[in-house]
Amino acid sequence: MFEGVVKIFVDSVVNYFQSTSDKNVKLGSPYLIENTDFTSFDFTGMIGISGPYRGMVYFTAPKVLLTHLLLSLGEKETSKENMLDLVGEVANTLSGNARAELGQDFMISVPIMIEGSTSNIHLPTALRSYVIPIYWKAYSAAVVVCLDNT
Amino acid sequence: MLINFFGKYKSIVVSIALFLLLDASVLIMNFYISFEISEDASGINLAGRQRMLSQRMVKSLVNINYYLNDAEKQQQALDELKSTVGLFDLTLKAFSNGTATIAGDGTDITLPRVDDAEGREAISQAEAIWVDYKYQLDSVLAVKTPEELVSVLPAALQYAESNNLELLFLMNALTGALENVASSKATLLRLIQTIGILLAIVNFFIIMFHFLKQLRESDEKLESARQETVEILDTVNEGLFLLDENLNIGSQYSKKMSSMFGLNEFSGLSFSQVLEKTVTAKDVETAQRFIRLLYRDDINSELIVDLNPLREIQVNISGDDAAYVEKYFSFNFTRVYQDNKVKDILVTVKDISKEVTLTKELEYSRQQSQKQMEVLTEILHINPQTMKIFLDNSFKSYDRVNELLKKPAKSNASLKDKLNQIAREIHSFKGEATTVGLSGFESLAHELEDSIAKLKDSRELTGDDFLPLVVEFESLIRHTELTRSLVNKLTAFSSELSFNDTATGGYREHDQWHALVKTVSERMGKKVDLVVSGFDIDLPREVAKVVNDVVIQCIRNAVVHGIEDPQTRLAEDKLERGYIDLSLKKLVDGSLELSVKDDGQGIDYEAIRSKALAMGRWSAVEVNSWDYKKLLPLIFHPGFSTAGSVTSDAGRGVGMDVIKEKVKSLQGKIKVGSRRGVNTKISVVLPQSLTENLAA
Repeated sequence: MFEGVVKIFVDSVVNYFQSTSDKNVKLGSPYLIENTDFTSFDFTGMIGISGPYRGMVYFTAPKVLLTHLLLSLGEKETSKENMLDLVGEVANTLSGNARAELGQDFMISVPIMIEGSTSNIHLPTALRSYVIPIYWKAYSAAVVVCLDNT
Repeated sequence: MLINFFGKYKSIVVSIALFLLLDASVLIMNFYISFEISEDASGINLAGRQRMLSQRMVKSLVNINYYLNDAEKQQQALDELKSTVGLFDLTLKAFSNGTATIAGDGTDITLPRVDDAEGREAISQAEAIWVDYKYQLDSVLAVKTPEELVSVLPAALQYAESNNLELLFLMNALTGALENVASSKATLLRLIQTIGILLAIVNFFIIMFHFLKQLRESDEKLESARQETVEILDTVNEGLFLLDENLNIGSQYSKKMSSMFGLNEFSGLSFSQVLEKTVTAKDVETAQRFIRLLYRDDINSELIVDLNPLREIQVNISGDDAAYVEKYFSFNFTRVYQDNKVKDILVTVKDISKEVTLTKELEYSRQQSQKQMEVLTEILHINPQTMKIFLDNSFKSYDRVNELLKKPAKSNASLKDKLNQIAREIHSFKGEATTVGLSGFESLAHELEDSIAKLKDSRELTGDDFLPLVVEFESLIRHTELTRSLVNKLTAFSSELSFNDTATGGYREHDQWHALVKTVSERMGKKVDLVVSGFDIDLPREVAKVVNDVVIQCIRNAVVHGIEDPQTRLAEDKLERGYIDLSLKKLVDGSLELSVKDDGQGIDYEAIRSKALAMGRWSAVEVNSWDYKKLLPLIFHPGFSTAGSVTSDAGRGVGMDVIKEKVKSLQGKIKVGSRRGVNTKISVVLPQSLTENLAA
């Protein structure tokens, strides 16, 4: 079950990348991080989850990846706002897919977007997060799943 | 019935009815008296006419006498006298008896009989005079010839002269008397009107004061009731509201609702609008169905109370940072009846988060205790120091696995390589768990190895294939954390459990090695003795760890692959019990030699050759051409094992390559010597510098 839930999020992001002009997206092997700090790249889109599993899921990516992603989507304006919009859109995809697949038993929040690493995000420290690296072009982003599955 | 209908307004209705009755009676009296007064006015007029008639009679008599020689004028006077006498007589009778007479306008009019004493007196006196007067006048009117007239006229004139004034006076008195009656009636009318109006005013004021007071009182009651309701709704620590038939929320609800549901305005919102942001769609739907049941009068609410899906519901209030604040609410639904029909549903919502959290915590700690008990029974027989080393090593091992996972790898080959490295790490961890005698860890590691084995079979690896592995890996970490917390607790209880953290303090793993040999040999149905010698050298922990790993791997291999089962041994003229000679000694050049020697079947080179062929990495011609020097190194090749099937003790084939790498990492060397059917000896030589470091 837990694997299935994580897979929904990973697949959403992979599908998103596959909708771009460069469909060659690869997944790295997942690894664990301690939730002592909010680990992220430059821009992050995040959704909250509650229900049988509680916590957060976020997509985080470096500026350079987002710049190329914007360009490949035909967007020439690579401003900070557009990057935030972009991670927001990915988070929206996460949220949408999660709603469609888990909607009956889960509560899925609307996405929020963050620039940089912020101390405002409080991850449940008792948990470890799963980081699933995403390789696209020469860059890497990640989906981070921080869910209490005890 | 009607009184009941008016209810509390009964007295005001009675008062107003009384007021109208009073007004009506005044009006009736007014009509009646006015009518009488108008009748009296006619009487007064006619009484006045009698005065005039009495004088006209005298004037006519005088004219008759005056116009004795003028027949025509005399006749005119006679006619006038006749009509005057008739009218006077008729009117006097009318006054006396209440009969009809002729009014001034020539119409008939019936006068009321005069009953007033003064008037009656005047009438009877006048009648007394009028009897004779009328006789005299009638005789004047009855004459046929002038001569007759001359004979009767003087008497009539005489009578008129002597009684005329008296008659005038009496008619005057009658008029006065009638006027008095009328005036007293008018006075009465005024009095009645005055009293009526006064009563009406009094009644009005009574109504005013009484009912204003009542109104003010009931207003005050209403206001204070409203105030109480507001106070209750403002201070009550629960969510309170009414739901109508369409499941909309009423206009009044408790203040607590805002903080409970994170909304400011509830009035008119539907129940589902309030719930949908906090409760899953499925629960909202079930709740609506339940409330609709409550609106059905034919269903006993006691019977369906257990169906309430919101009796203990997890709600999620979304916070500022996308995360949800998790709470537990208890919704209670009570029917509100009006005229025996369910009008509304009163909903009370209570925040039971504390209770639920407490129960959950209790349940969690109960489960934890249970798990800890299981772990406790597993670790109790293990030397605390060994346990601590094991845990430290475990976490280091996990870190290495996680680092391996983290290492970027995109291609199939690099992922396969990553998988192999992880497999080796886990296998080595499992070996350690077996040695220490932690079957729980051992089985978790074994499951992990199963998952790894499945992945190894897949042709093309992608990153997300590792996900099940990572999930299992994470639960292994949790199990280790649980064990560590338990060990820490136990350590705190006993000062004896404190231990020297700087060095191993000599080899105490002997017990574990014996235990390992015992466990594995029993599982394999073999009989093996372990002889340990020379392990009294102090070693840096790092070296001790490698020595331990090598020992575990080698004695396990010796039991699994080397020593034969008792029947085979007996058949080959060997002792039933096999033995493993394990020794550690310092060589003359200061280097360290660890050797593991068993009296088993020796290395089966043909088995290695078959396995090499089965692996398919080399051509059959090539493999078949290899001699034992070429075949032997294969046992250190990753993924190589000659055991027929996978068990906890062998068959994973990641043991020897781990040993080789560890030894290599300490600049050590491994030598393998074997005689087929006689023995196998594996010796590891570690350089001198390693032990010197400790001495320094």
